[in-house]
Amino acid sequence: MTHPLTLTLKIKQDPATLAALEELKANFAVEIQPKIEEALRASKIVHFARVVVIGDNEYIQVITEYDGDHFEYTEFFRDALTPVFAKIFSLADGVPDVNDPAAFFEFSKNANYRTLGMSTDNATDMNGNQSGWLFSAYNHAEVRDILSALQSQAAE
Amino acid sequence: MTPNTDNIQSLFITRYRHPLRAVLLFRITDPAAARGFLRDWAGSVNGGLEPPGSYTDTAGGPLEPVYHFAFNWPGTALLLAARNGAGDGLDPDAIGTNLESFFTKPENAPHSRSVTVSLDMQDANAPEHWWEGSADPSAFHIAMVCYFADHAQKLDELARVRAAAASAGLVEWQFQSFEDGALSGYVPDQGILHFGFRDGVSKINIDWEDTGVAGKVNFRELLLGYPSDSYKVSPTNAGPWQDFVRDGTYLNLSWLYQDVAAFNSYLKEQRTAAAPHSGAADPEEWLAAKMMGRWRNGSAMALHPDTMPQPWDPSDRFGYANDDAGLKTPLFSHVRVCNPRDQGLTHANNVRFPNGPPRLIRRGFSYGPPLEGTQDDGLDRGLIGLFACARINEQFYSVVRWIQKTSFSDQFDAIRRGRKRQDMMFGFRGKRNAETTTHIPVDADSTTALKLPLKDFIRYKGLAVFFVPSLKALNYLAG
Repeated sequence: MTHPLTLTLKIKQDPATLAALEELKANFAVEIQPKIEEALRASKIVHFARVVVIGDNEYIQVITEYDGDHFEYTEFFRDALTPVFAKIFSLADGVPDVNDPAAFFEFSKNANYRTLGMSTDNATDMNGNQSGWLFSAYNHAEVRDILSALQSQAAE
Repeated sequence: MTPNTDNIQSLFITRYRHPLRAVLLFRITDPAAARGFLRDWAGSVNGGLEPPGSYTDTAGGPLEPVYHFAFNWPGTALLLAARNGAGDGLDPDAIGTNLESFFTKPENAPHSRSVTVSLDMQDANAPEHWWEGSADPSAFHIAMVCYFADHAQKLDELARVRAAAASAGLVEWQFQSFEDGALSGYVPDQGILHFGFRDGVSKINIDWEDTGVAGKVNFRELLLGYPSDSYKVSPTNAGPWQDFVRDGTYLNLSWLYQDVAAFNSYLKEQRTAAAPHSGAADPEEWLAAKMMGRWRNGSAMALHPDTMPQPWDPSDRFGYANDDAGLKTPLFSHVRVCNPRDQGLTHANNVRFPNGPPRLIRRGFSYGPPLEGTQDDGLDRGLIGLFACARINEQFYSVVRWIQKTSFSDQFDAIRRGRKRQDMMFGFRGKRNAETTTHIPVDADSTTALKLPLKDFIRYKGLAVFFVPSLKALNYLAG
């Protein structure tokens, strides 16, 4: 079962934060992106991931599609990407200490925005209610299934 | 900083000899009076590793009754408010995220939709059927765990506790299906539980001195208040909440029904299928052992893969690293799913559990009369499980999820639908997309596996989470 994550943070608009945002943008490909890529590739849970700044530097979003239970891997992502989350969270108000698992859990739960529509695969959200819509061209196959199929194909 | 074991309620750090046990659940109607009740009883609560009546108590003497206390969050909050804990930095209305939300937040309570979906508590396992389906599952606050020497003592003491509780405005949640109204039962002869397996073989040796020595379990698996880099136990920040919970733990109270007739019938039905693979062992016994990972007498299949040794072998010195395919101990056997020992985990789980798979300290007791044979007598029987840990979601709920979906190890990738399978004893077979057949390798190169349809043998009749305070914190709540 694949779930969408649309973590959305409102960026503080003070000069120091906006300067930090520009620095994040400038260094993302070299400093941030490889760290995220390494952690997510090793996890074999996440299908796609991207970080987006929208509006006039008003919001920053972390958007992913991931497999499995909502509550099972929050601590893995927090632990594996602590410096990355710390950098992104520092741009927003009211964000938790990323070293605090309980605070991180609460924040990531509340900052995740539901997609429109209704899930078609019985997926549920973090409250146990039916999720919003997430299209899957491969019937919500999990990352490990896809990797395994690709591996088998390559071996033929 | 290492724990002062004398400050820890003895319930989870030692074992008592008492054969009769009960859990009383109380609702607080008058917090001040409830604190009075606790003041009267807290003094009798044992702390430390060698309390009277434990196996480590060498003084001997008659078994006196033993009592331990635990509180869910609403109960803790009521007592803290009555105690004016806010003045000490313990304002329950401003708890924020100091404690794990799986303890404090109603939306992440055991009976909440979010958690029951996450743990696959569906159909007969769903919360509407819990606690006899008769009451609001949030309507209790205190769990009083009681151990008794014999029936006469139990009757006398239950009457004494109940009279004191009633006079303190505590309303007991009584259960019609239990003769004495409480979740009560016994330690069965030789520790052999309803399905016929000896329990209590594997005993956790806690590393109280924090030495990190191999073979011992870090005390942070159990105790709150000592967060470290490897154990991010909430609250992670120093302060009054961390001080308050230090030397405490979480009690995950699980009421589990065991369908003995269904299990026995299953073994008989599959006898013919198991026979070609069971060697010198009786086919039913062999199949039962493969599903459990231990022979009925408690001996590990990892050490005795072919026949049940006589006398039984209590050795706990084994792992699964040399049994990747599960030829000795199937990967989906109950003991291997609940404690994979040295079996490799997925990368994500290795990050979550750098010191090895999550551990639970297990206590509990059987309830209901034994049943032999394949005809159900319609009586309730099972296990009242008391599982302790420092992190509810990371430890207890992880194991519950692993029982329902075996995706925690890369080794499952080598097996067809291996990550969608379940604990062979304990899965909810109605789970969507679950692979509900056995996978028991039966040849030396593990290319052939016995595939049999699985059934539901166990179901939840209740699940609740309590905080077991240290003696210091218990006395603070009592005032």
